[in-house]
Amino acid sequence: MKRIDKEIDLEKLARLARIQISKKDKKRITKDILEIINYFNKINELKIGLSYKFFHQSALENVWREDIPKNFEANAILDQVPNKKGRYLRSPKIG
Amino acid sequence: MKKLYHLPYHELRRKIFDKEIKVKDYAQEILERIKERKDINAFITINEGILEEANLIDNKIKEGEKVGRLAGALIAIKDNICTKGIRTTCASKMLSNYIPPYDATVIERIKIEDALILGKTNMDEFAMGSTTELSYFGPTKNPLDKERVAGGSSGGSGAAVADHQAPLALGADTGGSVRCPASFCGIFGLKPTYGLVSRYGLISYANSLEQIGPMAKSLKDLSLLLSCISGKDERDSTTLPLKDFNFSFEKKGKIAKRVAIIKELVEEGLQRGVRERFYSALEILKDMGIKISELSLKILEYAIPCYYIIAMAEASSNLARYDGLRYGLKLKEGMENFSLYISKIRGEGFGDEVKRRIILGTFILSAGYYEQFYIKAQAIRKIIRKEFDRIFKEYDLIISPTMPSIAYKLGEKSKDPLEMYLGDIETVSANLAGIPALSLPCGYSSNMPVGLQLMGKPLSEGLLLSTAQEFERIRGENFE
Repeated sequence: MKRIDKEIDLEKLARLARIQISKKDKKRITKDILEIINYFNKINELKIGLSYKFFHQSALENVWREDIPKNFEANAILDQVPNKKGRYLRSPKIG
Repeated sequence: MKKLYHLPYHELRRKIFDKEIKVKDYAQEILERIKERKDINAFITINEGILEEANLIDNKIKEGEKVGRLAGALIAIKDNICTKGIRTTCASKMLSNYIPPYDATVIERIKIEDALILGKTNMDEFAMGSTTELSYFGPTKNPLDKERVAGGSSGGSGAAVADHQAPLALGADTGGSVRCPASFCGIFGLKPTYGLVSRYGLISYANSLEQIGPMAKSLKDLSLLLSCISGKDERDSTTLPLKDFNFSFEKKGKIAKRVAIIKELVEEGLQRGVRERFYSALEILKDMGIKISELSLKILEYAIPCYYIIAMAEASSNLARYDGLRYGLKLKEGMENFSLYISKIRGEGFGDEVKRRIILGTFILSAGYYEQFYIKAQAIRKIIRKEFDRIFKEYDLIISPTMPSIAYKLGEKSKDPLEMYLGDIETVSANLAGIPALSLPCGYSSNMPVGLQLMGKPLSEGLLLSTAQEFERIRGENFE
């Protein structure tokens, strides 16, 4: 299998995953993930027919339930909000 | 002298009902035990209200009221299962102050049976690990040798039960996370059939793989706890439409007749002592009249990469919810930029392994690699499931060691992620195929326990448990 090497752009991946990575950790994490990806690449030795492509853990069927609202205690939820003003959740500035 | 905390739950239960002991006194004894054994680091949080709750159960019994099947059972709960009003951290800095406003379904179910939540147990952060060293709250140590790990990711639950800090525990198993600590600590642990137990309130890591499972000192306790948590839940649409489980041993259950061992799981990479114990276990199975055949299942060579690709892909999606806005960590600065704030929170709140898996999952699902990795892994998963179906047409069980080695030394595996992943070879297939798997102790190597794994077709938990019970009985006779 062709090694996956230069193609990994850690900064791009970290941006997509919304995870800030320090300059100090960048080299180490890149090395780790390259090693792991190239190990995963082993599965591409196998040739598999199209019929195997899709997998679902449970049998596919529609699952219905009664549409009954469940009440939560509002304060128990609001207490968890890290940044808030009164009963509003404060978010960082958008745009 | 044998203390109360040494007893399995079914013996305690008799004493509680005969009014020989009070639940409150028992709880007091357990709390002292936990305090004495703090260095094991099995618990992250203890339920402060436990003595009061114990008192309520004592009163119920005193008044002659009807009580549930788990009356007075103090249950240790893995810290990724939500408990209303009790901190649930997932062993992560990200959730280190999170108090869930609701109970997971399994928690509701054990409370209905009058069980008490003893506390929340340590684990690898977000269940990503096989040693319980990757916890924000420090590693859990193996109670049989404090230089070794308890296994993971439900290591706190495993250590708590093995160390008599709790008679029963709940863990959760994504790729072996109940069975590995059961094996390393010398207790019983079961990963149920996918869909047997509700995942509502289980903090998601890889939702197509994981199941909550019981851990106990005896098979009787294990099957009781399993019976109480199983069954359809409309809040988890993947639960199977089944009701009223009772995995009871009152009647002698049917045991397995034909068993397969898989060459790929027993040939390479097994520690010598583990191999020896495994082959002596096979002799016991033969004494039980079980016919054993060896098969080869080549596709299992790809089980570990297949498992980790799927787990990481699902993790990158499931953990996208941690944005620091609705719950979780708080930063003092950075409120001027939305994306940057979230990236900072996640950079600070997640540990190394969690970051690694989210980034790898993001890579696996990215354009250009999705087909090559994710779709390919799903195809392999489908083949594994089909191959297991085929084997279970002819054989009742597949058996193997639970782990290829005894408990690792602290630090032995956790530094090299790939090395740690490879230790999951025996356990991941059951999660990929969605089948039940039980780990039971089958002897010692270098004074550390070795686990035997029984896997069966979907919903064959009863057969696994009765076969294990007969195995225990015969093994006990041989010892005496």
